[in-house]
Amino acid sequence: MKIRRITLAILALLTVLFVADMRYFQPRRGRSGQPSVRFQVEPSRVAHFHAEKTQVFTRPQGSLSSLMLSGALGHVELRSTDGTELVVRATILGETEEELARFEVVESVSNGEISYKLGPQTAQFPEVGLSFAVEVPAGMEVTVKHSYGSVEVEDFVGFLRLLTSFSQVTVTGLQGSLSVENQFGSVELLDISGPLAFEDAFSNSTVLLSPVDGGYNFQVDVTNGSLTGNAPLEKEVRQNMIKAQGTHGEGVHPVVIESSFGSVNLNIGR
Amino acid sequence: MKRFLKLVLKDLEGSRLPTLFLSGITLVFMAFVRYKVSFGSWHSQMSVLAVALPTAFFPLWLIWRSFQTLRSEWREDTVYTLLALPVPGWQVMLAKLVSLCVEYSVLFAVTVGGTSLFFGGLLDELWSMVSSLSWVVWNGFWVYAAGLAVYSSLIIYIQLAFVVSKMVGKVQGLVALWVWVLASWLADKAAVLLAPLFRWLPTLRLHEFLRLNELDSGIVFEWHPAGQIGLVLATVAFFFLTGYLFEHYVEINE
Repeated sequence: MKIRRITLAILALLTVLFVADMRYFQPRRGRSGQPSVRFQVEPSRVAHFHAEKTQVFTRPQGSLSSLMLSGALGHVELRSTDGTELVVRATILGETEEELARFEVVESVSNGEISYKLGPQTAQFPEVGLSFAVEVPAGMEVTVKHSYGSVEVEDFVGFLRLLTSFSQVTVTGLQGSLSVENQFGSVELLDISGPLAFEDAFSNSTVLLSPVDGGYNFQVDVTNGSLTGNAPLEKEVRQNMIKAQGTHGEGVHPVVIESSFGSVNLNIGR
Repeated sequence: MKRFLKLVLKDLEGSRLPTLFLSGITLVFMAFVRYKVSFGSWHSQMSVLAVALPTAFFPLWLIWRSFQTLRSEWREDTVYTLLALPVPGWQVMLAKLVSLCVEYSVLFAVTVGGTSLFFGGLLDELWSMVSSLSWVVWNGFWVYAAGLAVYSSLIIYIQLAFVVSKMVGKVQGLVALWVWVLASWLADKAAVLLAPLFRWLPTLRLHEFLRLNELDSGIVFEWHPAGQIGLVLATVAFFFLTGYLFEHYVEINE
């Protein structure tokens, strides 16, 4: 009987400590939560092609409201202009000239959206690669799908959506709305002015927001990763998860970040 | 040592029939799926099911077996004989741990062997990705070892929970469950508290050790063990605590 009582007393004591720990010490606020495991795939799979074929498409914006680019194993450069013309320079990359003859970039227009992708339909990456250098009129909606390469966006004005994997993504000086879904690689979003939706896995990312009228409202979830930077965030750390929220200014523009197995460095410029 | 080996053999004897039965069922099921796929009755993707089903079921089975090996001692009244033997409690627990690990190894071998035997020909795409047979064997071994380590620690927590539950009079199932929760929490606390002491340990570059760069030169897989050392120490401590409690206190309350 004595042992039974002692066992129950120890269990009761541990239960009290357990409840107190759950109630008062978890989540621990302000802990950075450095992961002990790091898994990452660097974008090293960009093939070294020896031949290339370039096609240039120039279209007046007219009734076109959005642009869709689908590429891989190449480099995408995108920027906004004050003009009204859409200029797409598409480069197909391959091993030999003969091989390239089988492929072409296909342009199609549907419901105000113009899109560019590799043709014919049976064409497959990584047999060949596809790069883009694009100038779009300011205010246009652009979607870029790209894998195994790099995406570079500079001085963009409008609505931008990036769907990338195994790529190095750099966006500098964006005014408008930005949505990024990325897996593997690295992401740098610098001097961003406007709402941001960012989903990321297995990569390191840096976000630098420019101060804007109305300010920002932050919702950040990081699973199995780390969250650093000077953004005004209230952090809650639970096991391998960091949930953070906060506002800057009036908190008008939403900044929603979901990251897993990576690091997020979130800053606001001065 | 001889007595310990006898204990292991006794536990292995107890697990022989269920393990053989489960292995046989698994291989028959795999053969049946392969037969259906070969004759075009089923799509080749159904072969994934034949591998996924045992892979999903075996962990649950092994958890149940960890509990069952101790439970049967009480149910069959052999626990008194066990306590009367001139072996320390930790050796009794270790014997059960070893026999369960053997059971895990057999089921792992059956899954891998059955998959290779019946579905190896359907995995051409997978084989084209890996660099060599030695790579597969090397990484297969470490998958086995990691699974064994996780399963061993799970057995230790179940043993502790079961033995402590036998030290209280009523609602032993609930007590066992609660002890398991508390033990996991304590181990986690130990890991957090002891982590700073082991920060000096180097980061292990597992992508080099596992030769993952042969798949893709861009893969980085690193592990800093500081956060897990406390967990391991706590688990080892729980193992000896279970042996001590089993040896000194369990009988009094039964």
